[in-house]
Amino acid sequence: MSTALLAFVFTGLGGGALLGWFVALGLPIVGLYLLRVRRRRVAVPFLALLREWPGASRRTALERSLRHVLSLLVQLALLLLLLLALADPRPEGQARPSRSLALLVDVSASMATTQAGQSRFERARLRANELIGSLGAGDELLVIQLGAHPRALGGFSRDRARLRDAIAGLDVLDTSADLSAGLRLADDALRGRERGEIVLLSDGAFPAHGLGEAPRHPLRYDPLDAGPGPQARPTVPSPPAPPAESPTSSTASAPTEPPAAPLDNLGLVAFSARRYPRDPLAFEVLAVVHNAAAEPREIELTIAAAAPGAADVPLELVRLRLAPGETQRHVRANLTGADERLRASIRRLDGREDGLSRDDSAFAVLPPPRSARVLVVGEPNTFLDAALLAEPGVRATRVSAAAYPPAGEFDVTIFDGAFPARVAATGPALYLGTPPDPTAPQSPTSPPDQAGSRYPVGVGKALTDFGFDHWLREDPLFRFLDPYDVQVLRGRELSPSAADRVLGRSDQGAILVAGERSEGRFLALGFDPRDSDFVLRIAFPVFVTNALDRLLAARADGRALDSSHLIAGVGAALSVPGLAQGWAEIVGPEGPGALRLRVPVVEHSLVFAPERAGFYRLESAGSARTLAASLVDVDESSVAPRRKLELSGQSVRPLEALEPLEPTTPWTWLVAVAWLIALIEWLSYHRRWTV
Amino acid sequence: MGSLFDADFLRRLESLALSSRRTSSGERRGEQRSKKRGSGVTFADHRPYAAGDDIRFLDVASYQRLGKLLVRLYEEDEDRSLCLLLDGSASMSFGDGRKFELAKQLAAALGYVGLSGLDRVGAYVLREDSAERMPPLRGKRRVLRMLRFLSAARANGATDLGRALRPVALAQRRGALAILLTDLYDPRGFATGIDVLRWNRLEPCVIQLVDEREARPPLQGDVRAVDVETDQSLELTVTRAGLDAVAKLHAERTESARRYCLARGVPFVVASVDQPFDRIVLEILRRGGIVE
Repeated sequence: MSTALLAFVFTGLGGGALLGWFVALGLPIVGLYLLRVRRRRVAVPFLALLREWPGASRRTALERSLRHVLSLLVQLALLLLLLLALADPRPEGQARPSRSLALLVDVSASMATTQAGQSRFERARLRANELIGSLGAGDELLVIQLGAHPRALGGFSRDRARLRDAIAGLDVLDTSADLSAGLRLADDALRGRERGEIVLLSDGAFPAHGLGEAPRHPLRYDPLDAGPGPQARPTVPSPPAPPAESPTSSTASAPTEPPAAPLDNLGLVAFSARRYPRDPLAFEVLAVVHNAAAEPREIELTIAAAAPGAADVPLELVRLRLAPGETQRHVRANLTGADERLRASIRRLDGREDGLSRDDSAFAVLPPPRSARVLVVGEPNTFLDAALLAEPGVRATRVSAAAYPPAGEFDVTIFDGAFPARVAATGPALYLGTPPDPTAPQSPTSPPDQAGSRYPVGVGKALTDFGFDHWLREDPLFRFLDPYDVQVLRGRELSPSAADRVLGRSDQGAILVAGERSEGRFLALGFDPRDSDFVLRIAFPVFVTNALDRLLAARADGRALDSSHLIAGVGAALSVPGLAQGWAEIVGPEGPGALRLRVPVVEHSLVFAPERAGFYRLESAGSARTLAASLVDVDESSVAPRRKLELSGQSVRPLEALEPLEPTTPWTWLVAVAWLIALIEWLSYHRRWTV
Repeated sequence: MGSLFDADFLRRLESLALSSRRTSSGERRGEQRSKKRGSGVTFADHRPYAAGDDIRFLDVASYQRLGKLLVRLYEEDEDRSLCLLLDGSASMSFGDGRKFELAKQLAAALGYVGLSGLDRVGAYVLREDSAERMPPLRGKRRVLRMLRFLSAARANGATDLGRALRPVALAQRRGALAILLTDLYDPRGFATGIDVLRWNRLEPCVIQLVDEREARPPLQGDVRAVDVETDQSLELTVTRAGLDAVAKLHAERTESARRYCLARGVPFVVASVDQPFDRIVLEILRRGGIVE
């Protein structure tokens, strides 16, 4: 709404509203002035003396009225000036229609990248404050923290102090940033608002597959680079190898600015540890290091045992040389000396400061030694028995199919080529062996009513000469395991139901399925391992171990917890032994500024999405565990800024400098004049000129 | 009562004697000289002997020298009436009441002196149309009664000195020294009361009680001034210059009263509440011709 008056446009109150408010507020003032002044009553001993004083009647009633009229006029002038200030008059041509801005501030780990003594996040903060300072009177802004889980901080506001407080409350997290979710959130927030715009303050270090689609509202992108301070805005340093771009592009508008020093970064992009099944005191770790620099770098990788409140104890120290862009995987085997906590750290040997220090450390927790009661149903199987023997915490009991179910309690059952009707009392099940032919007649020894429940999934056609062509690498079943070149002689295709999950598949069909039935969870392998070279590989006992881990982790009493490493920003469902129903408390990361978080526990499980790397303590009635979270994200470690952002195949407009706030906006002058008049009024009052 | 006088002060007052430029006759023998010839000890004159004269007063020496029978005449000592007239209007107790307190103390002091000199001392607290009366007392033994009367006196009501003094003056069968203790805040004019005394054969003496704070009242800005006696009000806008003018009026009014009294042979004394009481009694009253 804007109303023109002379050469000014009212962007706040309109002309009619201004007049209405003036009349509405001015009438009570006039009315009060019309009231006779109630004088202070003062007792005197001899009134005749005052009557004799000629000055008492020297001032005429008209003069006294005129004095009050002057005071009334001053008050009305004050009111008018304040209303005019509320109307926010602006010179014609400078007025700008109000807009709604959703400000996405990237707080992902890569924003901590420092160059020339200033981090990208600090620059983003300055830039955000600049943006807030340039807001017009009717502009509203919403601050959105763009991390792994984008979050709006408060609502839309015109209050600059409040917005600046929101910006000041932001901090870099050890997570990635979900741009797609952030843009959706901004779109939703701007829905129904006029002139909605999205402004993205980020270094653009998003995974290429996570950019998502272009938002519905106009998006402007400020590619933050860790370079000179905000005084250089709106210019942006040119990239090291500037492509032939349009001169209007934001990346080509820094002819006088010295190029920023080249950024390089080395980071740990994976770190995990596991105990050896045979020796619970020994363990091995996997550390993956990435060199995001354009030159080869030498680093020192240290694996250390960590303890709360004590210095780390180095366990192994390795020198590595990484080629530009190289990612090296290192498995450090047969390590001992750590009870629970492990920390991996890297240090550059060239003495230079790393671009991003947050990915120079990673944390892991060794899982507690497992113990499980395993029931094996079927004839003796050397390979399987050997694999189970390799698990020190496993106590295996083998029975024939006819003896199933035996007396006693078991944590998991392995059906090894024998498939009697399963009962829930023997726990989750691992099905090994070629599934029964569905077209074959039922065994005469099997009860007819159990025929349909002997194998948990449907069985399809027979398969020959096949292997694992596709598998879910992220599933815990394939941790430390690569079944790519396993050769299988024969087997059968599995036909999972809709709720089942196919974990492995050959080109001919599904061969490894996980799911849950009324008897409990199961894993079904569509072939007998002895009909393949799987049993001859080291991968087989690892597979058995992982399968037991997977099934045991899903037990109702949750005796297993895969907490060796959590990825910051990624929510993980944790099943914790002995965790009481209700609430648990997670405290961490250990050190100054540790947060205390209450999370609900349902059926011994909870969901936790850490936002900072480090060790956490999970505490609930009767149990306490240690969790570890790390920033292990190759996209975050690749700190090279993305100066051009493309969404849905279109380049995002760079953020040009917003129209700055007029340094001498008329309303400030109006308020200043009102203040001056109030000052004069007070002075005249005290000098008794107007009373 | 103890606050009015202390013992030392009473002793000092005892040395004072009431002075009157005009002697008057008394009902009883007192310590004041009188025109009346009587049985005093101070020789006054001779007159020829007449039948019936007390032969004890025959002047034998004159008879031997002149051969005539002459009777010696003596001045007769007689007492004098002292009338203490205390203004009991509300203006006398305005503010912290120091003005009325001072008036009572002065009245008590003068009364004490009178009683010490065997004078007849009466006291009146003047109201708008009447007066509270203390019957004339004589003798020093009655001083406590006088002090009790003064202590119980309260100031309230309006001022009309002429109306209040008229019955008082008429009640005086003989001339008396009438000491009027007042602030002269009489809307009908201060002269009325003085003239009533003069015209009724009384010998007036005026002591004006003054509080300087009343000359410059604590007024500022728009006020409604209300008279404590009449409850009449006046709306004013008071400035510093206005206060100066009021103070000047107050001074002029006092000076006007002083001139009026001097012109008519009436002793006039200004007693300020800010002056030490001793000084007022021992010096100001002496300077005003009230005591010698």
